[in-house]
Amino acid sequence: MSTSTQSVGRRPQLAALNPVAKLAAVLPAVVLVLFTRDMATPAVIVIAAALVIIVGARLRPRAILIGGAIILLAGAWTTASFALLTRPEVVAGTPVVIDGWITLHAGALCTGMATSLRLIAMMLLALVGSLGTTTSALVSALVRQGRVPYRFAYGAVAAVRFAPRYRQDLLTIRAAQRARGIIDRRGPVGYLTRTWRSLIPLLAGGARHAERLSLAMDARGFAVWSGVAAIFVITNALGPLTFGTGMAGPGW
Amino acid sequence: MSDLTPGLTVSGASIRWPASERWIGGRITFDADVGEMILLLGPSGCGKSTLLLALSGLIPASIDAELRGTILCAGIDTQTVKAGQLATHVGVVLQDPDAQVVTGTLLDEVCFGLENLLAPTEDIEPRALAALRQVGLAETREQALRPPTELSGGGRQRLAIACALALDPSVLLLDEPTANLDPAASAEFYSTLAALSGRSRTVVLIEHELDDALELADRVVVLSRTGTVTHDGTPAEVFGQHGRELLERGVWLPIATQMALRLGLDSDPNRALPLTAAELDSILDETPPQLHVVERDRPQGGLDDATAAIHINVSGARVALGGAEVLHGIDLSIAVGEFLAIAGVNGAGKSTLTRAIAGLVPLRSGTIDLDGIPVADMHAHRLGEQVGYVFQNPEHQFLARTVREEIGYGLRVRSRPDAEITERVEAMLDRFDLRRYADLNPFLLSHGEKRRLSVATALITEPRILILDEPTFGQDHERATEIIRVVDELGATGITILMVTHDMQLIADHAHRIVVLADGALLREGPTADVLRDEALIERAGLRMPPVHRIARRLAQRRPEWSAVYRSEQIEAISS
Repeated sequence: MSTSTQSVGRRPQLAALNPVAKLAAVLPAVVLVLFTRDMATPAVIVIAAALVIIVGARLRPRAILIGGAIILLAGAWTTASFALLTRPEVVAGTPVVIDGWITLHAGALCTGMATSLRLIAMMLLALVGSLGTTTSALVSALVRQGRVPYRFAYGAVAAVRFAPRYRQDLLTIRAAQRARGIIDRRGPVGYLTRTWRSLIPLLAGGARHAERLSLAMDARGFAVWSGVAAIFVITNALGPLTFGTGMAGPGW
Repeated sequence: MSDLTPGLTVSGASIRWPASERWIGGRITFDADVGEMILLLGPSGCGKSTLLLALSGLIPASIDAELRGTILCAGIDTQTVKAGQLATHVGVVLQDPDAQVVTGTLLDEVCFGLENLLAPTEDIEPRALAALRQVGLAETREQALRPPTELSGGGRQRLAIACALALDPSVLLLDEPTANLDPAASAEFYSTLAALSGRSRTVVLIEHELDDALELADRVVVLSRTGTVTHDGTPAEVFGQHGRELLERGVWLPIATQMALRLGLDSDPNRALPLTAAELDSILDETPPQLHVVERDRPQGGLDDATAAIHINVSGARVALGGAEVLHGIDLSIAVGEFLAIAGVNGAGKSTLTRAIAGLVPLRSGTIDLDGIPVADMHAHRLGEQVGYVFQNPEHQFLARTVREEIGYGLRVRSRPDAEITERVEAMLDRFDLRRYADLNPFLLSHGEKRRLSVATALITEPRILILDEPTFGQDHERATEIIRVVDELGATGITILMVTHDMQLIADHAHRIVVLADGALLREGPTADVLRDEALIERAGLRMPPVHRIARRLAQRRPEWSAVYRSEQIEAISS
């Protein structure tokens, strides 16, 4: 018996919901947040979304604490930056909070906090919409309910499955090139040369992998249904992924 | 069988890739009857895999290549069908287990083909589950919901078979299905295939590990280097009569046949060569007793020689990758001039250990010293001068635009004088027979040439340690022999060689000492002869005995002089 299979009853509630339904449910809230200017609406949505995530995804207390800390820090940072970016003449009528080498009005702080709350609300809503969704669940739901063409959905999934393999390849390529005596400088120049150098072998390997995968798909009748040979679908998805992997590096 | 529609009919077939002048396959013609299992052989580059793609109809329907002549697959002309339409008639299993997985669970994976072909909804899941049960991957629906990533390489190849079987094709094509697998997984794959081989399905198999495959094969078709059919007959006819000729053409032979050739059993043209241990056994009964086994052990190198200095000392080395520890406290000493093999199944930690020795991955704890100096304290350039590392895929190491620049790269980054660089690069071009390609881009070379180039680039700094990761992987018999000859020559110059491989015969024939790894831990290390004869240990590591020793042990039941034989070189004909 496999240890990883969970019985359906024990799955977190967010994972049990239909992926398309989850996306559809959060979409109106996202639109609402986009068009509000006050602080109360995003604040209420932040609290509600956080509750849904904590209950629905069964996060461990440690994860909740870390997540909370990150949100608070990010919130403070964006509040401060947006407050400083607010044009002073707009908030000139509000009381002055800080008057030293910069002058900060209470109105600017409010604007900053409102913007920050809206960003956090959207982040959390995106989490509600995607937590517990696996790529294949999303694909089959998109094909069934969303009427997304079958060939694009499966082609995209097959391409996404390259990612771990790409990451492994990239680690090997970096080690293989270091073994040749390459030492990259630290900083952005070293980053760029390193990235550029790994792209060619990564692309060569990726193209070969894509070709083999698409042959395997066509051998199982992929093209009959879709009318398009798998090779086109796969190679179209490959380019962006290669560059993404090359840029993000093994730390990703 | 003439009353049945033939499984495959190939007449006058040649294939040409776009933008290529050359036709692959010289008017290939052969038939495969229903239920027949054909083994397709030939040296690398002869077009076996291309032919298989044409047999499956992927050429010309999915791949933009030109087909001349006709191929009838399950009675259907492959020139007339659209991409994917043959999928109900022909199943394909390719070499790379990773490149055949499309979805996230075993069940989805098998359903993928059925859904593509619009099988009735209520049939899909039962058919998929039945196929998974047939290959032994899942008994219940729960088990079928596992992700394919949980499976080993061997498991994923059996999954590929299940995917093909679910569509119940009348033709099954397999292109080196065990090439990426370790020995035990490969044996497991063939026992699965044997259990499935009914008399209703035509099977064409490309394989170079012949001993497992031959048990299933009814016929052998051999292609020449230019892609014409040179032999077509039963395994006994083809190998029994033409063994020596095939060996010279670069075709792999069954081990028993190779051993018989070393014994000179082909000197009598009326005697058919053996294909199995049992046949070799009975031939030895009939032949005069002057055929002998040489009781000759390889001259011991390394630690048994009291004068040898310790070159590499690994002590309590632990390595973690992405948070998980993959190497658990390895202790190992390697002497100057030793040829050490590192064996283990995929994922045992072989490459991680050699990368740690070359300073390419950091240690979590423990130390690795080269000549008493910790690797961690050495500057990358200095380390690179001591260790040459040839990776499994040569392309991963190419950095320059031409072969000449590629070879000189290691010297240029070390700012050596131009005159010295030129002199050493030119010498290297000759030594590795690369002068013809000096101004070509390294990516344009053939696989064997790329491999030679990567060895040349590793040796340019004259390192005292050479590390080779799976050097013979994916090479035909002739090229594998050529690479190993170079490595042996280097070994004779006193350089320390570390070779990562799961080719047990390669280890048996060349290594002084062997280190067996399993799950990131050192299972055992010792002289090759001692370790390889420890069957329980080899099995625990997921490996198999070297084939020569497997056959020798069978012969030793009545001929005790064979019991110590594990290397090909120990077998020799003594002429009267």
